[in-house]
Formats: sequence, structure tokens, C-alpha cells
Amino acid sequence: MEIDALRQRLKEIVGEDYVLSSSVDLMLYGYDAYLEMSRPDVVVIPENTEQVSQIVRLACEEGIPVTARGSATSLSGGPVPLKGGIVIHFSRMNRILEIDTVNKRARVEPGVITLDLQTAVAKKGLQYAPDPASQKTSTMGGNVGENSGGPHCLKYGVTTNHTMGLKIVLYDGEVVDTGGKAPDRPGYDLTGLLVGSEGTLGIVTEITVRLIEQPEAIKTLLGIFETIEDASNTVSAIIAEGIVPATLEMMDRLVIKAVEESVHAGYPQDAEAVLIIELDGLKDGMERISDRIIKICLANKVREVKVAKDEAERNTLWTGRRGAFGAVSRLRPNYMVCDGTVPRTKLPEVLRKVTEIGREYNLPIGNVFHAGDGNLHPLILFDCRDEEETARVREAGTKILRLCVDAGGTISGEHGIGLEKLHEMSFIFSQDDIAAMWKLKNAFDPVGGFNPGKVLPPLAS
Amino acid sequence: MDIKLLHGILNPQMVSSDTATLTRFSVDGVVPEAVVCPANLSQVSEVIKLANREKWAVTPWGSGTKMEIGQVPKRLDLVLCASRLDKIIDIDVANLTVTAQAGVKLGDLQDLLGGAENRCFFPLEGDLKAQADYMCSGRDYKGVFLPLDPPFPDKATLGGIIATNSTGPKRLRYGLPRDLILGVRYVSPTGEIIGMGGKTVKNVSGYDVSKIMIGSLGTLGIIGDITLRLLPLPEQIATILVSFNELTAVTGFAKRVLNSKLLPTSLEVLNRDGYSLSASTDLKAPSGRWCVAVGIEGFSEEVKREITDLKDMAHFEKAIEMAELDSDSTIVFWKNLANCALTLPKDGETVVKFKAGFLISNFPEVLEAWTNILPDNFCALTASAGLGLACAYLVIKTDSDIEKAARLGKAFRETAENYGGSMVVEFAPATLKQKLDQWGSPHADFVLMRRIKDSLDPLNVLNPGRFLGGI
Ligand SMILES: Cc1cc2nc3c(=O)[nH]c(=O)nc-3n(C[C@H](O)[C@H](O)[C@H](O)COP(=O)(O)OP(=O)(O)OC[C@H]3O[C@@H](n4cnc5c(N)ncnc54)[C@H](O)[C@@H]3O)c2cc1C
Repeated sequence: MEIDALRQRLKEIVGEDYVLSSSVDLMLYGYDAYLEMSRPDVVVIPENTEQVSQIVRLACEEGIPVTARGSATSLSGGPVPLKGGIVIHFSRMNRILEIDTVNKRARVEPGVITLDLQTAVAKKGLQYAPDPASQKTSTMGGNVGENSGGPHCLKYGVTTNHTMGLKIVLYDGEVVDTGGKAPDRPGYDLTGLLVGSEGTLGIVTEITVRLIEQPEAIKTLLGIFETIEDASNTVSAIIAEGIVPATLEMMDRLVIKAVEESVHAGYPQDAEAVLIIELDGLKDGMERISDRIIKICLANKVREVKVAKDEAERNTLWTGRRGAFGAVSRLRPNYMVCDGTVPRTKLPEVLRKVTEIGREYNLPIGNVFHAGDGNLHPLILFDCRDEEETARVREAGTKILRLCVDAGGTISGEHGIGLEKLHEMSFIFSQDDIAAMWKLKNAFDPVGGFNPGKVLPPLAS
Repeated sequence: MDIKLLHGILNPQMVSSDTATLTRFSVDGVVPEAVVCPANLSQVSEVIKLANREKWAVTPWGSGTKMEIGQVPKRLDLVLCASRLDKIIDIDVANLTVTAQAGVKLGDLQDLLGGAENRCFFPLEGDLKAQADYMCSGRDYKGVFLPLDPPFPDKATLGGIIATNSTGPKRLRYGLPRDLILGVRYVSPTGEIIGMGGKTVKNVSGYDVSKIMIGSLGTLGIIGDITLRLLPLPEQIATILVSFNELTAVTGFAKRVLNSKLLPTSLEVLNRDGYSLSASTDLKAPSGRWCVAVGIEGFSEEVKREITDLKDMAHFEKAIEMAELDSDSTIVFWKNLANCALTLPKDGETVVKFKAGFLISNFPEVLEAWTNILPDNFCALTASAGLGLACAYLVIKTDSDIEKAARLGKAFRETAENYGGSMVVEFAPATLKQKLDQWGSPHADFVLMRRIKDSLDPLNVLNPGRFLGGI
């Protein structure tokens, strides 16, 4: 189909104003928070499921690729339209359809910003647990696409643990609901498979999530350490002690410094590591548990433990963590995040080796990460205009992922494979494993129209 | 079937075809031609590849506690039992993970985990200089546990629990097998050994394939080994039993609990017959028509506070009686409830179990409707107020009560469907299954399930015809 004819047909579906095709638009919708870009042929902004269904049916008939896009904060190239075609942007499908306080469920459209949902349910005394650091910008559709995590996922689990059902548009435009508000519908757990499939199996047009009560009490502690090893040993020791806090987040010296310069969270600039420890739940017993944590910190040579006295102090401590990526991006024009994950007792060993890799490749690396989950985020700083340096960054990134795999871990904890880690998939999966995933892909998308070139590397036949 | 083909890949003692064994491993009265018990995944893989070549139908078998789930098999040539896949591969207390083979019995695993003492780990494993610096926990009580409490915990295997997505009352606090699974290694329907996930608590590398293995009733693969999340054993456990005469008071109490900040592990509503299932010699039956059992686990201060608050709430709803179970009685109480179906039937009787899921908000309506259609003779109801789940156990005369049970099942199902849910027949004799669909009607998303099954198991080798919609 001629590109002009395609645009015309799309305009008939969504209206004149919601089909974008100027070269500036196409460039703007061609990248995310990773390094690659690729332009779509056309961007369309539908208003409802029916329109999405028509767009997908048209694309299927014409053999045109379709890539779903939320806010494009993906760090692995998820929404980049690698093979061109149609990008469906969800900024108009941003309604919270229902907050059901009795069943403790919310139904939302995919374009709803994560924080907007959290704010809306908080007004009713409830919470939606997954809290990616990008929550101010990321969409619920993108969270489902990537199975996003966040600081509180140590205790509460990631997006998939809170997703009860999805409305999806299949490759041929059919619309089906998987799961729902009631539990235990018989059949395969399609919802579980769709979460984290990065828009390669179907387009999500509605999401039903689980809400939970807000905790009665919260206690936030900040441990300041002289070495990163002491801090990571503290993480393992807390868990081994039988305490599962709501969060265990760590930042190293480079990140602390950047954060202090930008948001002034009150972290001491000469510390090698800080650890944010948050407890939540019933107020009863919290004092004793917090004392035990302080003892563990002391046994691991903590310099100082600060306890947030009120909501304001707590927010200050968190501002630093939430603003960390942004703060680091002031240091150099670009950063690349490696999302490797290891069993948490391996953290000290792996972090030490990450530092060695930084030295070997002569690249500054900062660490800000979900320590309780063993989910590292080494941030490699660079300037993408320097091609030689960029090449070194990619090599160092691959090496860090290899390191995680060798330590019994994996190549992505929460940012997804996208197009970034196709090659590294072979670090953890055999050809048979990948073939099994291709069979699932083919069952959902026999024409290969959804987000081609992502998640699954081609099979070496 | 040519048994010699099996002898080509397995030791003779792993293959049985004597009548006694075949009868023991029959499924809904359908007798297989051979039973094999391979000792490792490579052998499972060989058997499945052979089955594909020979177009045999294969049924995986854990310990057979849930073999009644599902339709009567369309075909059954070979039963593949997991009894030799019974090794616990790794208990990592410091990382709170366990990896074990599918044939491990949950009860055995819990016993081991409960006594697991080694909370030490190398902070710098692989770094020779630091070998001496072991880190150990100073906690004064020990043990970890797998937060799953399905029916028949002593008998059920991990593979069977995962394949049936089996849960118990503690799901309220700890979630489903799907929330605990970190990795799985299985043999695909075409015989490849597939591994997904591992020991990390977060993982988004590739599709989350383990999710569709859960609850797929052995139709998409033979589960080999599984890595699951553990939790530290709670410092203290207790149970509060509260009894009421009126259903409105029951649901009023449940609502209070659910809208509070308390975090009970379970909130089960039992009718009088339901309560009798969990009663034991040292627990007298409560006098009301309904009993609500609230399980509590946590640090001692939390448990104390929850007990106080729960008693206040019960008071407010004018409870008839209240009892507090200590930790020993708590264990006995919930265990009896989990095993109840084993102890119920006498000679010539069978247990039938229905399980429904529906909107939590309709809990009162569903319970009321079910109570109104209950038969006069024994019928135990156990319902999870915070989850929107309810189970009914009937004891029926195996030869004369089938029609009646089928009618009741249909009425129960209609109620669940009216309130946004569904109902499955979890346990029933084959004669009843012919009169009552086990799964109910599939929804529009069934088209995807069918395509998945066809794509992964093109020759329909694994458990043909047992699952939803005839998969
Ligand atoms: C500063 C920063 C901090 C971050 N912190 C975290 C963090 O703490 N935890 C974490 O997990 N991630 C984090 N991320 C990564 C990212 O924010 C998440 O992956 C987020 O969920 C992406 O949401 P999005 O709306 O931007 O989706 P996009 O990037 O637009 O899309 C992500 C994927 O989902 C697919 N998709 C989007 N909408 C749909 C739909 N409707 N149907 C089907 N597929 C769809 C896309 O095709 C794509 O593959 C961070 C990123 C940044 C830049």
C-alpha cells in the first residue's frame, strides 16, 4: 500500500488530527531512552479499543508492522519502530475507567500515567504497588509491556503480580479479555504471558490491576557506609535475619555526588555508599525491627544511620533516589543502564567486578539500584558523539551482563530485552529455549506484525 | 503399544505394564498401557520424543492427588510419573530461594525448610582472600518456608501443585504459585528440555513462559524442576475463631477485617459442616451456624495487636463465641482443613468438590445463594472472604447420587457466573463428569489457548482432552 493511501485510511479511522507524518514527528516518535532510533512511516493516536482494532486489522491486511508506544521511557529500545510501519501512541487513551474500592481493583486505559493512577487511588486510601522510578512519566501500558519493577517491589512484587486482566487486540484485529476482576478463571494464564512481552504479542487497550491497603506505618532509614561491600553485606544480612523490608535501595559515591549537586537530598558526599531501608506495615513491632536493622548496619561498619522523623524527611531521602538518573545525566551527555540481576548475596562480588570493568574500559560507572532484589543498574557515562567511546560502552555493557549471568543471574531484571539485549539472550537461553518462545510468538502473532525485531533473536537455523 | 521401544531408553525397572500398576495409574477409569518413572529430565525428554514419533498420549503424574481434575482423558497410552524426580537441588536460605524437582512432596520440603539453620553465606564467594569472612545471621529462631498451603500438603508434589495452580487459605497474604515461581525447567510436548528463569527474584529476560506452565494441567510440558521464593518463618502464628448465626454478621465481620490495616494470612468462612472438617479432639465445635477462621502470622507485637483488634471487631458484630488458637493448635486446625477431603467419605461414598471464583464484592450474595440451594445432608462450605473464592464439598453415594450432584453443581456454577465468576469441578467421579462440565464454557480468549496448545504440542501428546474446551 502506498504510504499516502495508508495515512488516508488511518485518518478515516481516527480523524484527521490524530495521524502524524511530518518528518519532525516521525523523528520524535522514533526513539526511547536507549541509544538506537528508527523512524516509523506514520504515527497514529487512537481514542478507543475499536479504533485500535481497526488500525491493527488494516496493518495485518497490508503486512505493515505495528509498534505500541507509551511514554517511550523504555531503556532497551522497546517502542522503537525498528522496521518502520505504524506507531500507535496512547496519549489519548489515558482514562482511569474505574476504581472499585470494594473489590480493590482499578481498570485503566494503557495511556494512564503510573503516578496519576497512584495519586487517584491514594485519595481512596489504597495503593497500586509497582512504583518504577520513572512513574511520573511512564504509562501503565508501558509498565505492562516491560513488567516494570520499582523500589517497593522487594516486598510487593512487580507489575505482573498486580495485573489481574488485560483487554488485548490480536494480530487480526480481534479483541479479547484475559483474566478479569474475579480470580481463577480456568485456562492458561495468558495475562501472565502478556505482561513483559514488550508489545510483541498483542496491543493492550485496557488493564485491570489489583489495589492494596496503604500501610498503617512507614519507617525510612538511611545507612551511610565507607565501602560498597559493607553496604551490600548489610543487604544480605537483613534478609538473612528474617526481615523483608519494603525497600532496600543503594547508591554509590558517583551517584551520591551527582544527586547532592542536583537535588540536595542530604547524603554525605564523601560516603562510598548509602542504603535506603524502608519498613512498612503495622506500627506494632516496627520499632524493634528497626533497632535490629540498625544493629545489623553497625555490625557491618556503618558510619551513621539516619532515621527519617517525619514525612518531609522521608520525602527528602526519596527525592535523591528518584532523581538519581536525572542527576547523573548532568555529568555526561549520555548514560547507558545495565539492568543485570544476581542472587543478592552475590552483590559484593559483582559490584567489585563492575568497578574493575569501568577501570578496564576507562569509563565512569555509577551505581543506583534495587539492592534487595539483587537488581543492579550500573550507569555507564559517555558522550554518544564520540563513536569510539560509544563502542567501548556497548562492550563494557555486554561484559557486565556476562558477569551477572556467570554469578547465577540474568540479563534483565526490569528494563526488558527490546533490541538492546537480543545478542545477550544467548547468554542465558539455549536455541531450544528461544525456539519455545518463538512458538508462543507465532501462536499470538502468526504474521509477525507486532513490534518486529524485539525480544527474540532470530533462530540460527 | 510396543513396550520394547521404552526398554530401549529406560531401565526395565522404570517401566511397568502389569495389570495392578496399570489399574493404580488409571485416570478417570481410563487404563494406560504402560507406566514409566524416569530418573532424570534427559530420560523424560527421550520418552516424550518417542511418544511424538509413536503418537502416544502421555499423562504426567505427580502423586495422583489431583488426577480427578479435568475431563475424562480422550486418549491415554502412557503415564509418566514423577516419583523419581524427587531431589531437592538447592536450598539457599540467605537468598530465600529453593530449587527442587517436580516429584518432591511439599510436606517433605517444608519439614526441611522449617529446620534450615544455615543462614550463612560468603559475601565474596570466589574471592579467595575473603573466604574466612562468613556472614551469619544472629536471629534466635530459625527456618524458612514456602508460602503455599494447597490441599493435601503431605502428598501433593511441587509439579502437581504448579500444574494445577493449587492454593489454600494463605493465598490471601502470600499469593499464588505464579507469584512465587522464579524459574522452571521442563520437557516440552515435543521433547526438548527448556529452561526459563533462575534464582533471581526479578527477571524480564524473554517471555515469562513459566506463567503458562502454571495451571496448565500438564498439557504444555512436563515440569522437571522449579525454583521458588521462600520467606523466613514468622516469629509467631495464631488463629482466631469467631462464630455467628447470621450470614450478614459474617460478611460484616469480614468486611471490617478487609478494610482495616490488619494483614491476616487467611480469612476463611466455614459453615457448620465445613468447621467439622477442621475440628479435632481438642477443639469443640462452635455453637453458631457459621465460623470465621482468621490466620495470623508475623512478629510477636503484630500478632498481639491483630488478635486484640479482631476480637473487637467480632464483638462489634455480636459474635456468639470466640476462641484463640495457639501455634500448635493453629497448625493442626489448618492441616485438618487441607486434608479434609481424604477423611470424609465412607464405603460406597465419594467426595465431590466444587470451587468457584467470583467478585469479592459479591461474597455475601454467593454465600447466601449457595446456602439456599444446599442439600439437607452433608455439605461443607469453605470460602475465602478476601479473595472471592468458595469451595463446596459434598459426600455423595457413588451409585445413586450422581444426578443430584450434577444438578447442584449446575446451580452453584450459575450463581458464580451471575456474580462475574466461574466454577470448576475439582474432584468428582468420572460418572459425574459425564453429566457436568468440569471447566464451564471458555471465553473469547480461548482462541489463544487453542493456538498455544496447537503451536507447542502439534501432535496432541500431553494430556489430550483433559483441559478447558477439550484441550
Ligand atoms: C529515568 C528512568 C528511570 C526508570 N526507572 C525504572 C524503574 O525503576 N523500574 C523499571 O522497571 N523501569 C524503569 N525505567 C524504564 C521504563 O520507565 C519502564 O520500562 C516503563 O514501564 C516504560 O513505560 P513507557 O510508558 O515509557 O513505555 P514505552 O517505553 O513507550 O514502551 C515500553 C514497551 O511497552 C510496549 N507498550 C507500550 N504500550 C503498550 C500497549 N498499550 N500495548 C502493548 N505494548 C505496549 C512498547 O511497545 C514497548 O515495547 C526507567 C526509565 C527511565 C528513563
